[in-house]
Amino acid sequence: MYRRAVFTFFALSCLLLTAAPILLNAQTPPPIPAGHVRIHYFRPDSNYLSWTVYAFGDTTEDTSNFNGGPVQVTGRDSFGAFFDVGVSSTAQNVGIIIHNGNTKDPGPNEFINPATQGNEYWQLSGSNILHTTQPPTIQQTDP
Amino acid sequence: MIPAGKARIHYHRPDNDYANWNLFPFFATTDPNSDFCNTNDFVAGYDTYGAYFDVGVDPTKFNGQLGFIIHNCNIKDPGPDMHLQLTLNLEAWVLSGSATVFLSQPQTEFTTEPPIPANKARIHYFRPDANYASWTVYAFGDTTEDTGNFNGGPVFVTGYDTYGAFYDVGLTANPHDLGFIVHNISTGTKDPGPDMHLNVALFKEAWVISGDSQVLSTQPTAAQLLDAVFFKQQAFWIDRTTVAIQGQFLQSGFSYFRNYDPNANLQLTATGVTGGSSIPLTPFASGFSSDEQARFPQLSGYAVLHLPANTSTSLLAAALKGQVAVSSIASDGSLKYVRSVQTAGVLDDLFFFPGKLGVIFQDNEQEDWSDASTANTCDGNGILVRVWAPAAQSLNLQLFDQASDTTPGQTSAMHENNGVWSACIDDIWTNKYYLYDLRVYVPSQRAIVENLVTDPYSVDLALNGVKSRLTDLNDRDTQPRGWEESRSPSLANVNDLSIYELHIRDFSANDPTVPSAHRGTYLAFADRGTNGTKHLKALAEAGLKAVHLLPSFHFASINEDKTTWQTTPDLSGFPPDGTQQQAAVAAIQNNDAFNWGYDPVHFFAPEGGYALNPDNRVLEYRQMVQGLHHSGLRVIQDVVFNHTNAIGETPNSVLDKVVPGYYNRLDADGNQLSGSCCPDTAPEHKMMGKLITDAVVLNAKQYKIDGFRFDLMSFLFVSNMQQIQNAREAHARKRRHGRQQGLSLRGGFRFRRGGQQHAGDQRQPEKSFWQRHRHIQRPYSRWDPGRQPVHRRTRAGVCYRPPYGL
Repeated sequence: MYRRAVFTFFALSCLLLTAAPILLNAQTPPPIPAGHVRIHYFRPDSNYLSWTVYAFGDTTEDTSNFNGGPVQVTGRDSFGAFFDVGVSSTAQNVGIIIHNGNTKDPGPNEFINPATQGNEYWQLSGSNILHTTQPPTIQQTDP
Repeated sequence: MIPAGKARIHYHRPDNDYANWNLFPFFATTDPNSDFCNTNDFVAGYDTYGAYFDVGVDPTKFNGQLGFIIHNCNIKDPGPDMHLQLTLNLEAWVLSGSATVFLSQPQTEFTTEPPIPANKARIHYFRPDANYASWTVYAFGDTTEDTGNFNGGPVFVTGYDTYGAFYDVGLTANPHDLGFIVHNISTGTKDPGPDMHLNVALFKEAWVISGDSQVLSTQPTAAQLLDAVFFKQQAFWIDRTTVAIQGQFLQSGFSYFRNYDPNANLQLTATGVTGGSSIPLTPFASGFSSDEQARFPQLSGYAVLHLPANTSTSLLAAALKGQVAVSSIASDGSLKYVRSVQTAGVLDDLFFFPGKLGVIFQDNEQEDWSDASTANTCDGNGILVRVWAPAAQSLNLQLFDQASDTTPGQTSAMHENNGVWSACIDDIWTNKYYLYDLRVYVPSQRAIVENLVTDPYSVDLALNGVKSRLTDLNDRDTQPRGWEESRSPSLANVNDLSIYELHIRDFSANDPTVPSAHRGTYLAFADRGTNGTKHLKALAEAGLKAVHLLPSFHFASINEDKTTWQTTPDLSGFPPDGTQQQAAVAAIQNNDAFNWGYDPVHFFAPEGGYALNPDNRVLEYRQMVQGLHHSGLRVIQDVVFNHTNAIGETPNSVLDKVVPGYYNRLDADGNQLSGSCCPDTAPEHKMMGKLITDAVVLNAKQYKIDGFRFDLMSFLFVSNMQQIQNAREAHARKRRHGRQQGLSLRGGFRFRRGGQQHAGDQRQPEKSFWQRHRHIQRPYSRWDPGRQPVHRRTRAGVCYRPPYGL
């Protein structure tokens, strides 16, 4: 003799759902806020989800938690995604790690000096260079 | 223009994900290369082919030969060292998965494939993540490829087409059968595992799908591709709010769903999953909470999806009682992703139950283990039977008068309260037998299955564990005379501990001074004046402190029915160098009376093969312990919590029949891990951790066991050991017997497991239990030479308060 439990299921219509709120391409990137540097990041697969920046050194961001205190993508532009990272007013040495969980891109710590290098940087996925001028992304003819 | 002093290595990956892929240069290079993981050349830029590395070179060194390896520290792409002769070329192209150093740009994706070369077969391989680095084809049978070196990976990627990678495999003349295995030469993982075969007399081209062992002779459709991955348990439902999927499947503009069906009839169409119901999931950009990260460190890099905040617990509970999937729909309405789900995390979050499980006799419950739940009690009458089965759709308790009965004398419906099912039955069933009859979704069967199974918390069993038994361990009939009062021999100092490892049957099987019926049984330890017990007593007087008994819980490999046991014939007539002796042993080795017993079936019940009468296994086990204590020896049990003898729907599977997919550890693809030898358990799941603690405490309390030797302790966690210690201390506080000498806990061999694919790897505190520290409870005698009191002992950063050790 079975005594079967009866459950109530709430059917939810798929049609009522909307796509997740994902950052859209910005028309014109907003100006870099005071007290911040902007890190641009290019990925050839265009998939920036879960990629974040951990900053350390002369930063105002949370440095206590590598995974839990990252800087999220601030916006998107024609280069890729960008992160606005808070830095102290006299920042000379800010450490930057672009990462997705335990995967760092590319791996080593990178450092910038906002006092001498400015407030805007560009990085290509896989590269260990934070360029101070915008580099080409996918080049039609090799340099 | 390649910069002066540089060579340019182009690299194409079909997944376009170059993060953390670096080039390690050697031989004629001017770049640093002292450390494979940390001194590398990084991506210099991108062109229409892919990424490129500009490598500093000096063609005058090493005869102008540049060596390089493209890798991400863990995986080489594809594996072997690569070389470029700089005196001839300063530019080369690498195609992910291919071992060829191309000197002109190769095609990254053929829209029209090159013809299959003569005397070759073409194997097409599709990976949904498009990551083919290190994936190779090992061929055997009618092939001309190197069959002598599995890990050499004889056949690398030949090229890519719109389906995926393809591999051209050499064939012998007049070939019939080409065997092959797709595997990753960096991790050792086979995809999916079984040998695959192509009838090359009829077909020269085949298609395989990652995770599927079918070999197809035509290119699979998009629907077939989704079907092949549908049952891979690659999604993780980790708590009431969160589902995690592999990061690459999170895409902008997609909609995500958690699908579930109590009838296990989810079906795929081009536009979604049909059957059952669905709940929307929303990408959660902030990722895992710190608590989630701590519980599931192996999911770092996974994308986080959240359930709607207002989802009721009853809806979650209902969804967990059927088939569960996660799917995504692109903005054009097409189904893009679907996977089955590992649910252990959410089961822990919603249904962890700290109270007592199994058979509870009302007369002794009050002074028994602490029980956080007041639910499911019997109001002081009858016997309470309780089992944790949150995924069960229905659960009945079958009661049997005789162990051999095939029809229950009574069937009692069990009632569910937060995943715990319970029934109250009359006292007349004491010492009788029972089984659980439940309906539950079984992932391996892809169906709702009726399972008839013994109680994982059985304290007593019918012969061979075919039924559980309603035995009251506080019943005087299960206790030898003087049991309540008997005491363990004292141990003044942990550094005094010396241990004799002993097999219960070997101790007396050939001792002529033991009554013949007692030989090989528990009772031989209680027979006074035999050669064996006299010797143990003499050893104790000489300073031996403890006996470590090889496994004595109910295990699989000995038939408890002694009439089935076979022995070899008289071997003395064979010549000393003959092979007949070994052949005679091999002929009966699966049916004899001997096994070490490292194949647990029931963790709470004694093995019946060592009992004179298996129906008295509880009493006889206690007689053994009492006998050893009388001999002046403490008793250490060998406990095996790192694996079960069986999983799934096989006869010796118990836990996995009650909560399928929960108690044993699965890898990231949902495949059972077996690094221990056998199906690994998952003590990181709370109810498996609780089972370990409960079994240790029960044996310490009910059998007066003084210590435990944990088999393959590296498969357990520091937290498991802390829980055991906490439970032991709580028990000691509740019942001051005066005999508390502390519990000794010793770790077993550290196993070196190959591969990094184990889901639990990042959680394995292996260094806590390495072999040098086999006696993990012992203080470092070098620093603490026996001085009392020992205030604090540190092992791998974890502090234990005394008296953790002996």
